[in-house]
Amino acid sequence: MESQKASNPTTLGAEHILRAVLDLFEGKGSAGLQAIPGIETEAWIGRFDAVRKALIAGADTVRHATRSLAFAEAKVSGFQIELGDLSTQVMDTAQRLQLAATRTSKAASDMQDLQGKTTLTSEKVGRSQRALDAVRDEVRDVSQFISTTQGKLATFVESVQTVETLTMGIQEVANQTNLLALNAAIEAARAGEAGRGFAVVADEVRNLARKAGSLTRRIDDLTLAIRDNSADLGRDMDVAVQRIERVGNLVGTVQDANKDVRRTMDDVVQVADAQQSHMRQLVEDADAQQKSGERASENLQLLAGQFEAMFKTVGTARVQLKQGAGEIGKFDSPAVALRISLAMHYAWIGDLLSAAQSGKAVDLDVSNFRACYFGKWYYGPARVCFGEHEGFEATENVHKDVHSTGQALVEALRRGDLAQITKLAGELEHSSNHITERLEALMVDAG
Amino acid sequence: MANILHDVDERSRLAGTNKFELLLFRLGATPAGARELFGINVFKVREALVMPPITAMPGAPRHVLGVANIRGQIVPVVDLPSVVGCTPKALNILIVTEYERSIQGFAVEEVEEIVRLDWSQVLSAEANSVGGMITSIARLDAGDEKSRLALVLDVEKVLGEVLPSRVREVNPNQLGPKLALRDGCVIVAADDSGIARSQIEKVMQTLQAPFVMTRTGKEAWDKIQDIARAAKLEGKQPIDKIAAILTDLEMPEMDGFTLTRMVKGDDRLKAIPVIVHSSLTGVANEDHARKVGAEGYVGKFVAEELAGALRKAVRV
Repeated sequence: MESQKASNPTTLGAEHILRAVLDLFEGKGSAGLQAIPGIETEAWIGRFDAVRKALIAGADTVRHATRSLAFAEAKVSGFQIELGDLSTQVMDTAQRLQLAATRTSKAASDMQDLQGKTTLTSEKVGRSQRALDAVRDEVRDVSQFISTTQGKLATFVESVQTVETLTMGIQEVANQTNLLALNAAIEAARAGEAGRGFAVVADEVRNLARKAGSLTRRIDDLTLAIRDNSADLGRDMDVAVQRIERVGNLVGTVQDANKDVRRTMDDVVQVADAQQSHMRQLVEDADAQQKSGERASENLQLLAGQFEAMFKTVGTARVQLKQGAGEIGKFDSPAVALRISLAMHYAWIGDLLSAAQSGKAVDLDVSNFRACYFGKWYYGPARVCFGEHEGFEATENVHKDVHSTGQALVEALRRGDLAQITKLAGELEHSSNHITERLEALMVDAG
Repeated sequence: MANILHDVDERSRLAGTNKFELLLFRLGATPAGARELFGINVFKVREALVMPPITAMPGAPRHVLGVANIRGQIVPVVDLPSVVGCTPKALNILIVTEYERSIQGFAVEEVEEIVRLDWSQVLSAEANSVGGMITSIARLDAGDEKSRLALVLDVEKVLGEVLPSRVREVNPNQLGPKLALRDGCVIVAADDSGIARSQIEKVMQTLQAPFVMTRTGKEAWDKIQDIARAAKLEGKQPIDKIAAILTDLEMPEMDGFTLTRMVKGDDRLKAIPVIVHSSLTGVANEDHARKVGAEGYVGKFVAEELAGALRKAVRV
């Protein structure tokens, strides 16, 4: 029919001419225009073509802008959340630092307390050291006293031994006297009457000898007891000397230990001193850090606020762009339709990727691949125009992939399955690139 | 004071009161481990000394330690513990004894004391079947059943065993002819020492003199009484039946002095001559004997002197 009208240009009215122009714009070829006689067909075709190309270029630009904006929004949406987190973390760190500073400050005051106590103890140890010195002197005195007493005891024992020797002499005399008395008695008995006077003397001498004997025995018993006791005393004194020496040694050991303790305490005081100044420095640093952290947090919050504002602006821009694209898409031209359908895909793919970044569920249904802008076009007018084009059939599966992947992501977002979300977001980006390639190839074919 | 005087009186009049004094000494532990008290009649002791230096003699008899110089006299020293079989701690004291006309020293461990005893406190060891080196046993505490006992050594036997050369043998040829006694007449002899009795018996047999041997003064006294009663029944005097009484001095139960005194104090008996035969040689003992009325005193043991004294007494 179009070729019939073209075969008769001269009968062509103004409506026919305008139809030919629209055909050209809608991509139905330039045959209508060429059939119009009397005009420089080629020149008009050239001009209209320039306009058409400008229109398509505009659609392309919208498509590109939509893609860039959608992907940028998706990339940035996670960033905003991270910024908020970062601000919280900075604030948290600052608060922790403040806590640490408070604790350090408490520790510093404890340390000062300890230092004071240590100094006090060190002084006490010093006093006990002086007391121990006195004890040691006393021990030495007692030791010397015992030594002197031991010497006296030795002299005493010698005296007792002398007494024993003397007693032995007396005992000998007593024995001899006894023997003498015995002999006198014998003599008296033998002498009979004549020995009467002698017998008296003999008896008396014998009594004397007995007395002397019993006295010496008593002295012997006494000296024996004295010697035993002196020996005991001597042993006791030896033991006492040993014990006192041990006490002296112990006092020496304790003194050494005290010295060590005092040295250690002095060290402790010094270390505590150094530690305190370190802690003070630490507290100051922490205070400074906290202030910086608060400032940083404030800045970050400000930044996040600004970022949100910007994000809203970008969102608004994207919505407006989508509307714009929709408006352009109303123009019934396959070339434009292809470009706008791509832009529309970019729009919801951008929504999903953005949601994947923040992990928020989205109220979106992309399951029906026939209901979308491209779907309506593809299963509608496109089949008439591009049905014979190479790769038209192949595009269907790519498009189905985009939708099924998108729908799977929507469901993963609803479930909150993070691993699946990340995986599907990657696949969706890959599929969007793929469909871009496919449709761009169709655009080249469609001219 | 009165007590002392009494004591002294007693001591100086021992002879004739049936009392005697015993020098107690120790010889160490017996084989059984006991430390017994030993005793010797003071009349046989000259003195007790701290052990003087002893000169050992080659070839000396067993139990003889050697000789000691006691106041210029050479005296053999007998190891008395070794003779008796005791083990002393040391030999501290030397008891110089004089009997049987012989002077010898006995080395002992220790001398204890001198105790005065009545002969009635002394029991004959032989009569109690103990024997050995002990002649009698003295109960030191009169009237006490648990009295300490002192073993009175048979010093004659000791001398006979250790120094036999000092004991003279009986030589029958030197005793002279038979001692003629009236018919039915006997000599009553009393001696507690077995050795002495055998010596006396030998002399009597040599003299062919009938004799009655007794072992204590008491036994002799009882025998004399028996004979006197028998004589009376025959209407004779005791002197017709008893030619003489030969008595030892130291004897258990009744000593020779007491026996003599009792015989001489009895009107029927006092005619009988009494000859004291004692190892207590020495002037003091002879005096004691005469004082109680003995006709003769013969020191042990010289057979000739004994025979001579008997002849002399019987003739009277």
